[in-house]
Amino acid sequence: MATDNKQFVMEFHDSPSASAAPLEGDMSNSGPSNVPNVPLNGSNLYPSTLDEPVKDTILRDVKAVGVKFYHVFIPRSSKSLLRDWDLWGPLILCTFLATLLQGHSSAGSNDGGPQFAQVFIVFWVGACAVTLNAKLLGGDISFFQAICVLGYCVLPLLLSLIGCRIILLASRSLVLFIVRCCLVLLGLSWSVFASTAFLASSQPPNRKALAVYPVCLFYFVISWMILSHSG
Amino acid sequence: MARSFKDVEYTKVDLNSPHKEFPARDTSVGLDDGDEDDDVHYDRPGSTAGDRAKLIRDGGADGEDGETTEEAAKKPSVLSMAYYQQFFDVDTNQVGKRILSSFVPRPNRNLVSDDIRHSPDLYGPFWVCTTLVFVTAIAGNLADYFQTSAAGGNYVWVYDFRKVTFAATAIYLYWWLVPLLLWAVTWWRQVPEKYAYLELLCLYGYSLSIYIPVSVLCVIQLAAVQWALILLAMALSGTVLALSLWPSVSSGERRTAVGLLTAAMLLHAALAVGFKLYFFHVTSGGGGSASSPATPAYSGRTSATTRAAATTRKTPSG
Repeated sequence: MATDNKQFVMEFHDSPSASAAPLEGDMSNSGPSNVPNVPLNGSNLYPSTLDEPVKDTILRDVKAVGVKFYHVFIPRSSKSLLRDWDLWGPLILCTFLATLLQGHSSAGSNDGGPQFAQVFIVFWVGACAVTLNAKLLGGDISFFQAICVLGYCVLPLLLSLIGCRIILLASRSLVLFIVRCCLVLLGLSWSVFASTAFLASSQPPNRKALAVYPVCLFYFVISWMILSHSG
Repeated sequence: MARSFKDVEYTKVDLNSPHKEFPARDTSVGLDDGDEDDDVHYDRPGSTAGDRAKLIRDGGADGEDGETTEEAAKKPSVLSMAYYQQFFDVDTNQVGKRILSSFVPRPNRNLVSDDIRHSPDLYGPFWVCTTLVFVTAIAGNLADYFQTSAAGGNYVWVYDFRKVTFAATAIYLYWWLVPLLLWAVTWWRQVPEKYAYLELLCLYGYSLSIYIPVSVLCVIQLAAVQWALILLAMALSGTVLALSLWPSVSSGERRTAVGLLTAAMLLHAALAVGFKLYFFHVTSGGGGSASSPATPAYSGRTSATTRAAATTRKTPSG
């Protein structure tokens, strides 16, 4: 009985021993893994980040976001990446996307593009719907992890939007439209590939297509909004 | 085996190993190790031990006890994820098979009793409806673009988000309101073999699936082609719908059965025709309707009077 206490004993750290001796040395696998190895003493279980300079705090989060952006380009299923989810990246990407996609709603122009709020809603409600779907089908990924992955994988589409904007600075012609199509298609396929590299492994094998299809639909809608944005 | 409480600092309850002296508590949290004894699986609700276990498990909240299957003995609460997971219990090939048989009418097959009844799901209907919303809105945009650029107008491509909201409202309302009305009428009329609401939802959701490729094809700017496609889709999916609904409604009174079936077919036709007229109308005047700016249907939401607003709903005269 004494060896079975690891599940239901109220302890704050993950160590298998139930001793009350103070832990010293490097941190175990609990807690944020991007925190530098700060030696613990007996009273605090997590290193105190309250006293560090603000630059360190900001740089740590920026580095975490940057690492994830890098992993979107070189996608591989990594459990540690999924565990340290954050929603900074999706927020930045969504805001950028919505700002760039915004139509000019002044009275003089004829552009009826989506408003900022519409893009925002489509993005977040879409991500929530896709994540809920993955969870309801029996996937073992947590809600915010999946939203984190979906949000970060919008990065290739954002880059193709920037490319399209640059192309639109030139004159409009059919050839340039086809170039824009190809750019958006490339971004779409990269986004889908990157997100399924993370998400598909969490589904049972006979339902993988059911979980991947809403991801494709989500990115397809975003890429349609990008393609139909004509500056 | 029994400890006094002063020997330990806190009580440790290990629910993973079977406690022989607390048989009811083993089943109360539903932890299934796979090697539990048979006497802790209470699947007959009549037994008193089973009732006690169920009471402990559900807190007495679970009242209805119609089924005697094992799933009923472990019914999850409405607030848990497991409750909703039972509606998504399908595999890829099941969904594909259901979609396929929703527009291929076969006289002896009933979509509900053959395919759906044993495990109705909400995955297929929901994603079919969502896909249809976006595909119809996008195809409607494309159709407008081709129409006005063929008419020679200097059309700046716009993305009319209002089409998406209109399509979403129409499709989702049709998807859950019509089965609700159907179910309510069969319940009111006490039709003996009425379908459950979930099965009707499933049936109606899958029956919309043929409109997805039809919407894409309706981008072709020929009125004859568009009407032919719409009528074909209506006929196919309407037949499957009728074949599935008839065994159920015909078990009641004849008048109710005929009335219900007619109403269902009429609503199905109305949806298809309404979509064709709103999203894909080809005017015979050659761009007369598209180049004149009409007042937007929603005032105060967007201040732009776009050219796309010219395609708000009006029936073509031709």
